[in-house]
Amino acid sequence: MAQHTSGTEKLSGQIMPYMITELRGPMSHLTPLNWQSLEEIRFRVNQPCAVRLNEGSFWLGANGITRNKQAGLIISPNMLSRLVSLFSQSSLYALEDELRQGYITLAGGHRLGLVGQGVMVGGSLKTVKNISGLNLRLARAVEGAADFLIPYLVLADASPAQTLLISPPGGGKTTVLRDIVRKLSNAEPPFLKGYDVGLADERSEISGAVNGLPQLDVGGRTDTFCGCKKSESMMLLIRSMSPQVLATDEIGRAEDVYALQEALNTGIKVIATAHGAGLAELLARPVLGELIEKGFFQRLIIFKRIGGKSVLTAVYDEKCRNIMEAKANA
Amino acid sequence: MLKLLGAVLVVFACGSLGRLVEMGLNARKQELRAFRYAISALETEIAYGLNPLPQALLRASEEAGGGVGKLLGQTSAALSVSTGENAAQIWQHKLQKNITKLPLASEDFALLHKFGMGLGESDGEDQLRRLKLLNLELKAREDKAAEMAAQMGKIWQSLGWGTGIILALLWL
Repeated sequence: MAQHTSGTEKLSGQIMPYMITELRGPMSHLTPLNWQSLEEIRFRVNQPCAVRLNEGSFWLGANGITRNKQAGLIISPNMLSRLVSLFSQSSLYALEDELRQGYITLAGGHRLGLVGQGVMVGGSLKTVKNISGLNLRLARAVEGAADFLIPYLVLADASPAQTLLISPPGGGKTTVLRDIVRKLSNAEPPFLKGYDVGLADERSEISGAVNGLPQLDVGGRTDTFCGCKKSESMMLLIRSMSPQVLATDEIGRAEDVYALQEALNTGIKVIATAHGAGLAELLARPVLGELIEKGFFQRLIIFKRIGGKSVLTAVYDEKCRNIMEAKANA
Repeated sequence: MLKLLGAVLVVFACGSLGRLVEMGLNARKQELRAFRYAISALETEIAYGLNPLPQALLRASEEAGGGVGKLLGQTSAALSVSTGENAAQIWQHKLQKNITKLPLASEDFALLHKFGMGLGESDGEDQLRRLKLLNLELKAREDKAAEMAAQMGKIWQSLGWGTGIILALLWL
């Protein structure tokens, strides 16, 4: 319990400085339990401040969390503008690359998504102005987050399988991947030895890196390359750090495939994640579908989030046979 | 003898008053120049350094010095501790608190207020455009202040000494 309290104190200590004065009072009513299950805070212009906990969606009222929308604290355009200033340290000009990506990574690995009016130059997004909505997604290292799928991740020789973790957005893929990376790196059961892990963390979301330094525990044998396109950072990691396992988040672009195949050719194990809800949907995707059909991944683990917990939906092998079903039948 | 001593004192007092007014005019010119240096430093920080505003303001404050430099330094420090206020709010508060300590004319404060509005709240291009515009306005204001200091400074000094001498002669 003491550990949970210090964890929630640390989390509130990271989040509260970003809050404008009008929100500090209501936020101070959040209980340690609220902080413990807090997943997202959404700020939308002229709408009440929305809060997502493990248990579901709520509003932030003057006295803390409420189910009553009418009691929710309305975010005015001026409030949102000041929130953006605090999140960006009044330095929006220094975050143009991040704005183009649609998010800012904050200290502690928390991610702030932004929407507004895009400014296009030469057919591509230059920046975002008139920001109208923010989504603060909290990152936290959850030890044991991957325990529910670990039996499917380990091959007969106790080595990790080439794995693709699949779940819909908000399904907890990043938290699960972070836990797997830490286990592999620190030789935690069921892995019998520690692996040198190369972590291609394009959005600094897995490691929560700030100025290149991981803020969340990704293990003692992990080399993190962040803030760079994952296809490039995977190649750099392969060339420079000789990892035994390569881990990355949300693959799907054509250039990712080349790096993944390069890893395969050099005998590196790959653990990656992708958005999706089922195998048929993944097979229909142009790049990812091809990789799966070629049998690149020894395990395709599909899960979703129910009541704040990740639950396995299906597990497939390289020939797309549902081994979870087979195991259950056996 | 005492009358003579009093007359000398009156001459020096009036002369010093004239000199004080001249120094005030020069101080305004120097403060405006310091503010312009700060703006230029901030432009560099934003355009090339892409440094966060607290750091950029600190550099600008070191570059500028003077009362404006102090204000920038205080704003940078307040931004770093995160009080729940953004840069524009902090700047306005600091400005209100220190307005009487700066050797500036009332019309100059409009420029200082303008500097704070929207500080760090838009992309680099927009921030630079605003700073460049402000720099131009400051340059014009500084040139005017320098001209005024040169003309009026001499007048005030002469007036001070002259008034002192006339008063002394009348008294004697």
